[in-house]
Amino acid sequence: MVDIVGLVNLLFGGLVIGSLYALSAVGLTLLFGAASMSNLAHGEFVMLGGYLAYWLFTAMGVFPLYSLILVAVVVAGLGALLYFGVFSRIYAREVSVAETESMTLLLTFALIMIISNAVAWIFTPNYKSYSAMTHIIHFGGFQAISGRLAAPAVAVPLILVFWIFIRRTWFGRAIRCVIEDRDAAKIVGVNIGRVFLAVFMIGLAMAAITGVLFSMIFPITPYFGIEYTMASFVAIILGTVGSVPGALIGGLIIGMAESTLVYYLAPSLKIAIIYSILILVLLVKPRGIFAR
Amino acid sequence: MRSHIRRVCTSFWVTVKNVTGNKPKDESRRKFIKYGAGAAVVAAAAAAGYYGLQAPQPAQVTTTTQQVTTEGPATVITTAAKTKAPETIKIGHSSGVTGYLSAAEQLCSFWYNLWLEQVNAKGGIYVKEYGQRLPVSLIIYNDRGETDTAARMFERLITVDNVSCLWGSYGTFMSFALQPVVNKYKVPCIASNAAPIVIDDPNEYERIYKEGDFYRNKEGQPWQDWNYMLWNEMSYYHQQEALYKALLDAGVKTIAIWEIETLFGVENRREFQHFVDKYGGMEIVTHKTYPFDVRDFGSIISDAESRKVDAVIQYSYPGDSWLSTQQMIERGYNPKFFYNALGMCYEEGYRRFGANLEGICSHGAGFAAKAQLSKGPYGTGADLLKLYKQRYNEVPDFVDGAIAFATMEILEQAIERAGTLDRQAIYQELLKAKDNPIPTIIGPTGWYRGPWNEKRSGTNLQNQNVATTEPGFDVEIVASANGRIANLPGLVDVDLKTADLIYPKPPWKT
Repeated sequence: MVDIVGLVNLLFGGLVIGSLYALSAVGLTLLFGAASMSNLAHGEFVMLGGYLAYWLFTAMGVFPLYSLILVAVVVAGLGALLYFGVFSRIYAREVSVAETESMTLLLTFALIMIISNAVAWIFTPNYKSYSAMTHIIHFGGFQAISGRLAAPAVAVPLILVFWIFIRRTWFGRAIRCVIEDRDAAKIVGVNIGRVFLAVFMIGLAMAAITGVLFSMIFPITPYFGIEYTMASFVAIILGTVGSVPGALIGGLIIGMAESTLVYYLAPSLKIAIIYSILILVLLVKPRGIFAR
Repeated sequence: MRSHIRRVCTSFWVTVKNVTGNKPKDESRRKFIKYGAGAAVVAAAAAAGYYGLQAPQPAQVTTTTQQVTTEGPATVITTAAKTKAPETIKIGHSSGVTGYLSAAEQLCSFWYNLWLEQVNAKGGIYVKEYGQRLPVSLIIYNDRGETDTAARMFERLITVDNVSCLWGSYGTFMSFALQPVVNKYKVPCIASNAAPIVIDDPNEYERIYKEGDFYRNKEGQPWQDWNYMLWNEMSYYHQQEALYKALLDAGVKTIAIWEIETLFGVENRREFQHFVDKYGGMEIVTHKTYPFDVRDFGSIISDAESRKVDAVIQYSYPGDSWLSTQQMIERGYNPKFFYNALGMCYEEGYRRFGANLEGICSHGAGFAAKAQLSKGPYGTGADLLKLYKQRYNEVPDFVDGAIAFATMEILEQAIERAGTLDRQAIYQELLKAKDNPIPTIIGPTGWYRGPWNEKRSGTNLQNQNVATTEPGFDVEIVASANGRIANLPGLVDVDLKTADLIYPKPPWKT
């Protein structure tokens, strides 16, 4: 059996991975819930954030914690460009939500290829990593590098702040309103286009921040995005689509399950564990644990 | 390619139309064209991207064609030059220039290029049929560490580029994937940085080796009648025998095994387990496998830590070696014995871990100054290590580089001995090396009982650690020496065998 230090390490590992999944999932649930965007390329934006942080650190000497802001701004801008250039034209059509989801599914599939190939072309497909925030912090018999601590320390408060923003501000209420009923939101005067734009910028910025935090701990490749897309989808299905606390809880559950089950079973089963959770959720609680 | 993209675009647009249910009408013709063009651009980009991911890419083709000189043996026989000589001798290779094997491949490529510079500096390889030296071109394709791509690249090298001989992709599983291709076309190939596992049952291999039997296929054919892939490393059996003895001497009782899910990991572990099961003295208490794109060793480390094992043995490639070691340091997990197969003896390993290498055991090789059998056409192993440092200003590795260089020495001399670029003639010369070993920096090389380069008692056919190792210890278990190398860059002629194992391993220096 695992001892106390081992257990703390396992749970901490789960918290680190889970908080990254959760942050990515919040961005995805926002896009999916509010803008009906089935963003298959969500993980690619996570990956892109990681590479931008890598480039900023290795070429420009920008400390990764500062990169969090820079990368978020850049990718939010990219989100705005994508919205105006591509997706706003889809939303302008008089089609059903299901059809919008199908269209975005196809378009974001194309984005996967474009982003991952472009990154592989620029940075090569080799693993990249950088050494920052490697200071070791001790708590009794437990120790971890500061980069690992940064993941939950940044991701969880950021999600909570965003949740408060969604709950307490007028614009947050507008987003929730669109998630609940887009037609009703229009009737009461919500500017749907502006909400979509904000959702694109915030959702993709969150994915990019996830990538920056990820790159502080793990080596990155142009092809790890799909893993994050799937984990984020499972997290939002588990936590109910459109729910911010649901995405947080869903992400943390997946992270913890991955960490502990991989320990008791085999590391090779990591992806299988995520998909098994998806099947289980769809069978037992298809609308997620926060469904009303 | 163009028609492929057109087909994809067309089908994509049809799909889009079906999904949206919008049919273009006359009055909205402009709108239709606008959206159609947009969708086509996206689809074309997607198709191009998809094609980029899937299609084999000759990403790196090195063709060195130096001026033919008339010095040396080229001027000796001129009457033999009846046939028009080709411009170069083409030797082919496919490997993971990019991808997770790229760290190892890039390192090996330094050594291939070092050899290329040496051989072309003297005008190339002397080919009797043409009565002159011919410069060498290396044709290298990027297979990204994918077996199916590697097989396609090999077919191209053989059928389109018409190479005279080949050497295999880095990695045991890659060479095994390429074996059917070279056998099909009957082209001689050296599996360079890969270890043979041709015997499924370790007991059977032990019997063959000890009794001096010959390896045959299921139909009873001797290996040289059907196998054109010759391995330049010895089998895992001897390497794992060496590791087992080192653990036994140290007094290790409990072991955790971490194994990468490739043939290299599987077969190393299986051979090691053979010794533990058969001869005892220790117990494997936990055994974890992991995929080669692993990013987190957290749970694996937790498992070994909670079981309080004496030794962690990791059968790994360089990338995962560095990752696990880094995460062990971060976690402060320091087993009494840590064996990490590949990566620690690399320049990158020295740079990343420095003094933390002290006490880590590794799959490696060294050249003692007194190793007289380590001598190829360009000097001894120690000479080449010094030349490497001069040329690249980096500390050489002590595991893959020497084998990579020796592979090129073997191919060079096989061509020279054959006196022709005919594939069959070159293969026959490789087979004859059992009676007339080919001198290389890893020792005189030949193949006798099986397609693996072997060490025979009394003949000094050895693989690594020439002339300083005892029978069965073909691969050095580098312990404290690693730390010394890290601290003393450039000291390349130390006798690594004389380094004593540090047990227990010293704490991490964080």
